[in-house]
Amino acid sequence: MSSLFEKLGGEKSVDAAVDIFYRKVLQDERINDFFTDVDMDEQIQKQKAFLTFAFGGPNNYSGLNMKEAHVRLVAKGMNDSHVDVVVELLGGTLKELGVGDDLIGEVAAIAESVRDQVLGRA
Amino acid sequence: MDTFYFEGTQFTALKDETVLDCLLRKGVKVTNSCKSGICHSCILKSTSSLDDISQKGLNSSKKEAGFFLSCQQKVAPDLEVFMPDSSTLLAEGEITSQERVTESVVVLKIQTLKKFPFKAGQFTNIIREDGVCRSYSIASQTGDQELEFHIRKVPNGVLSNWLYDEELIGKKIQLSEPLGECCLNDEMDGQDLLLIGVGTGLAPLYGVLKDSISSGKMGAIKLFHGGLTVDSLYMVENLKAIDHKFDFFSYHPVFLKGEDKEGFLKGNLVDLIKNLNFDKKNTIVMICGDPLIVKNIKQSVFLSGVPSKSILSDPFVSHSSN
Repeated sequence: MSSLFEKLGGEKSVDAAVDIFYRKVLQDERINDFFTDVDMDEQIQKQKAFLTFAFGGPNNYSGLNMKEAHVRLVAKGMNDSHVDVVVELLGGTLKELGVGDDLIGEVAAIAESVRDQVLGRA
Repeated sequence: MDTFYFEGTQFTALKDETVLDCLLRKGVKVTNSCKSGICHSCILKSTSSLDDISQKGLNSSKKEAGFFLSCQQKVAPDLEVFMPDSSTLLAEGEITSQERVTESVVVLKIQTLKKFPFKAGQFTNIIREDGVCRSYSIASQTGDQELEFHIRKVPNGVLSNWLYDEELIGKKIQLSEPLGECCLNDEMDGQDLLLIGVGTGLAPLYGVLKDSISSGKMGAIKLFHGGLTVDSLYMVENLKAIDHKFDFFSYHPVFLKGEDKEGFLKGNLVDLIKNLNFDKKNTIVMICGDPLIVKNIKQSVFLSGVPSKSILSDPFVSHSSN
């Protein structure tokens, strides 16, 4: 039985997804205020790490640095509604890449698993 | 309170202080410039374990040898720090030409006195005798040993004013190892090139342009050079001549303020690029110069459909004086 990461196409699919996902993030007025000021190259690296994690791939992201990485954004007013948008855009990205609903559900569940850490509640 | 050792002497740091800030505060002379981990001019050496961030961007042999960026390393208890042997890190050069091309830009040529490997598009630190040091992009073609620099005199800029104002032919300076990723590589062969330079952001692109012409491996090349006024643009005649000579190359000087002038585009460079028609999937875009303009153009080019890996940039981060 292959892992979720393998089913999604591994690192290649992360590379394919990152540009689509980041374009969606930058253009979505509900959340782009948190992102338009940040250096693009750095963001792409971070988005890649996040997508690898959400795709069930090998990752170096612990809950603690998820929390630390978002402290500044939480202080700027980031809350559950913004996390909802990110999960939504993640689903939209995968749909565009032709991923089926069941796998999208698995990815969303992994992304959900760090919601509390991202928002500084755990 | 954390203490550490520099060349065997004990220093006590303030809370969260970096090694560089602590040494500077105590009057130790350490070459430095950007204080952002980009220019690598503040490299020191250590035998202790280091924070990952202070070795970010160093090659593996440097990492293993214990080199680190002192502006990024927080003081940790019992850290042992040394001055690196500058002869292993620096190359000497002699200023051979100094041409003031506008009221604030000087084109400087420096002959290197030992082999100085670099790729067109990279930058290096120019270090004066007294240790004052700033990063400048190399405008030469890969392999040249007479290095060209385009230097803009900035208000209160210690080094840029010196380089513009003084007569420096024959003067010796030092150069650090070249850095930066705004370069061509084999994977880009056959693609088109869109080069966008703001002010002296032309320099690295000029080197890349010369490389592309001599390799003949790139497709169509467009160069946009933006300045505030017509008079702030330089090398115009030179670039027009290259434009006439090669069908695959077009040169577009752009200015923001002043009366219309034939042969120049008037307008906002960011908007101009936003509305530019080019092959989004098959073009390498390089953007250099003012950090804010670079950031805006980068984002709009990316949103227009250019893959992130095809966008290279070199934002000219100013020297931090605090």
